[in-house]
Amino acid sequence: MLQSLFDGILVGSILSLGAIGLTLIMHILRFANFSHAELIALGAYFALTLDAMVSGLSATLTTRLPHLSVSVSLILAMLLSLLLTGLLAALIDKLVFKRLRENAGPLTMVFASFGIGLIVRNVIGLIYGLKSTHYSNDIAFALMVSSDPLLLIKPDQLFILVLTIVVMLALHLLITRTSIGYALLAVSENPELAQVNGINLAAMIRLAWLLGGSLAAIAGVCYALNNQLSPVMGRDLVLSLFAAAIVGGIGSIYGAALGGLIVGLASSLALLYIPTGYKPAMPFVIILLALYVRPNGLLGEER
Amino acid sequence: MNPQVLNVQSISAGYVRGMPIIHDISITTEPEEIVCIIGPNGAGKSTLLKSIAGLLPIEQGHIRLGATNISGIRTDKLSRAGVAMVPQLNNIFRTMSVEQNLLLAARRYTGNRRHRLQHMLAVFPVLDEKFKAKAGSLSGGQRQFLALAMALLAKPHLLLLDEPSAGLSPVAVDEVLGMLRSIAAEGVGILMVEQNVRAALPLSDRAYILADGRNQHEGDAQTMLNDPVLGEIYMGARRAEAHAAKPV
Amino acid sequence: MIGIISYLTFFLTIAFILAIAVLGLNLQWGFTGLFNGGIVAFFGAGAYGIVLLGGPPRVDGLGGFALPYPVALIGAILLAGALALLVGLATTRLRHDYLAIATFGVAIALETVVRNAEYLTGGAKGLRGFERPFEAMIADPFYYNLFFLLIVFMCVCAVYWFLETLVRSPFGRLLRAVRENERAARSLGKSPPAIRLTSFVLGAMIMGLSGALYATFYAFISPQDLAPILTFQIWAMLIVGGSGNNQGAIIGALVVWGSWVGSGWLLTAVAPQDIQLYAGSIQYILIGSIIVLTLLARPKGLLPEKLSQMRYTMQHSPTPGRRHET
Repeated sequence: MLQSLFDGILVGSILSLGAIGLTLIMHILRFANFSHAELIALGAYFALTLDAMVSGLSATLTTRLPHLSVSVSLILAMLLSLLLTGLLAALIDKLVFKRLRENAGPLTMVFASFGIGLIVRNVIGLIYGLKSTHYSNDIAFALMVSSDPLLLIKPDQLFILVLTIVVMLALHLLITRTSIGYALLAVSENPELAQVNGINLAAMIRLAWLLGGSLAAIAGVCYALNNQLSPVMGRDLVLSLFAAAIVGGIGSIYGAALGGLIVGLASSLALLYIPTGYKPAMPFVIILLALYVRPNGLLGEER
Repeated sequence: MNPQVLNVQSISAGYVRGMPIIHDISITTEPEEIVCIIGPNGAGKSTLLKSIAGLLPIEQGHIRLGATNISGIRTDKLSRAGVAMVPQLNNIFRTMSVEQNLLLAARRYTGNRRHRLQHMLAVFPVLDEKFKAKAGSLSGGQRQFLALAMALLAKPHLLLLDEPSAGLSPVAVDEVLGMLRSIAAEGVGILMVEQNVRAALPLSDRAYILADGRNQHEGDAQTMLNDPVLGEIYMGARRAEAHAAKPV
Repeated sequence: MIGIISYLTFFLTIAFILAIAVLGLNLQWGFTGLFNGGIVAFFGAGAYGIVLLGGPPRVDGLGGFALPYPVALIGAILLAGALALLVGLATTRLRHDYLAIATFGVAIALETVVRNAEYLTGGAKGLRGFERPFEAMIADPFYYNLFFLLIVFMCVCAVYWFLETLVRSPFGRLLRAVRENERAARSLGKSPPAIRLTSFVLGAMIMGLSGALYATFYAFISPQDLAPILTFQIWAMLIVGGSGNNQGAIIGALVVWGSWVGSGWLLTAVAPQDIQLYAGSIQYILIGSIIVLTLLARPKGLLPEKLSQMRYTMQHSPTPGRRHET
């Protein structure tokens, strides 16, 4: 039970990071982006390559942080990866989605996002191989925090938890303390009114992609640290991300964070009662429940 | 030429290119003047306002503010040209605090923002009281004050108002519309679209009547208010409706 | 010669079975503007449905009711319709992309159930089917396959005729009205969510028919047959053929299935051994590229529906973010 709670919060915090970008884009551009989860995979794999490049620069960079399997170079690689993933997200928008929203409707963008997701996933498979891999081959031992109830925690997992909390606090400060944050909130609530109030919509859309891509990259590195890197990790996560965004309420950044935790916890606790094989269906059950019971989500507004 | 005169010349515009909703419309608004646009539902009043604000594409004609051509201007650059708009109903950010709303709007002002904000809070004291409250929790009249304050923070030469009395109680209508005279007195031209003709005409200088997306009539607001024929044609039904529409 | 003909028979049978699913999708997307992100779920419901209802009694699990073929077929189609009703009721009142998410989800959920509920579905091993209709009368497999192709072709014609009649009926005009201008349809006193739901469920039942024929043909069904790529293939078939056009949907099915089989054959025949492992990935990238590039270059496909010029602009005109972005 305690273990399930911890696992749920851990996975939930990773989902939260991924769902924030998804909910922003889904609200501002009014389309469900099925390729968003592929940004998580891209972020994780970019970090893998960059880690190899950075650690080649100097041997000291390969030093691991105390008790962790995370090296200095991996942290640097993650920072570079979040920048790269954010830029790539904005680039995909410029090349595909922007053209489609000018010439066609939101559903055409949904459609294209399916295609882009398929392409990205398989290009990753072509480049990195279909087998899963890890950042580090060292076996990380779990610490037994408590034996009854059983609670095993790996140091890396604590690192992930702290990292996601720090990132979410930083995001909270960005949107509550800076004028660019207000502008982002304004655009996500009412794009037309935001323009009337002097906000450059195109610039904010680019910012939303950059931010969404960066958060996805961090989520990707965290997910890979906790599990492994695999070309299908995006496909495995996409439904959970949508569940988080819908449960929290489309367009609400805090809702997405909350939704991520709820989906993570629900999926983890459900395994106490149902066989493991059914786990992939959990997000669908959550989505269906949310749509029947509270279609605007917990923190979303009636629209 | 006075830099603050709005001159709309024979514009046609609509939501979809090739399917204009308003045709060949011309209007002017001078500083310190309150101009009211009235007409039946679907006459194209809001469309006109939105196309002036750059929210809709203009297919023909042009719009000038003083010597500057502002036709098809990007909406977010509107305030730089000296125009501010208060859209209908959803005109504040409900999920943000009053303070955040005002700070966001103040970004457009190039002068001393703190002073400008203090000035607005003096003009609308209720906003000072509710400074930290969620904008979504404000009453209808308070929301409209916030929306007006947000528009005026940019210190515009021209203010566009889309149905400022929509959804307000009779008392709030008087309060909100009552502010307009003093706003205009500071040198601002006000162009407003209003269904509530009985409340809007008495405080307007001039009025335009729109029907089927075209100019139908233009004249002095007071004359129009007292013209029995015009009253019969354009305002008779409106008057009854305006009464009926007021929330109890 | 016999070899070529028998291969062609096999190829056409599968292509026409898939064409039925494309026609079902055309009703949903082409005529109603509904995005179905989980075609494979409704296809799968039909496939498993017919094997469960019409298959021989099982000793190791539930199912195998050995119902007469027509009864089992109708049951399978109804099962697909019921699944569509479950997701449709939750989403047709809401934002249009919620249906995309819910259908995508139902496909994953169905695959999960099929893989795990061994008692009902046989799990990863799959389910054995039953003797195909009239198989006892036509002993020669070559002639039987030709006969089966004929049945499938007749089903394609029947669905085609049904859809053509439907879209020309008053209901078809309602579909168009809902797709092109929701507000106008509402002002006519019609409920757009109810119309969307009807169209969605009908389309899903047609996909169920397609799945049922597929399981009948192979007399076997397993989770492998319900790979998510099937959804993409059906989509690619529709947009290559031109959405909103039933003839185009059938042509698209033939062209895309031909390219799929052809590219697969080519990759195994000429590609070096170490690349063969990635043949699937390359094919998937091709399918994804077909979808994205067709949407970018010609949003309406090869044979677009006539008189649909205003389609997208009318439906989505006041989209935030469409203007002022340069």
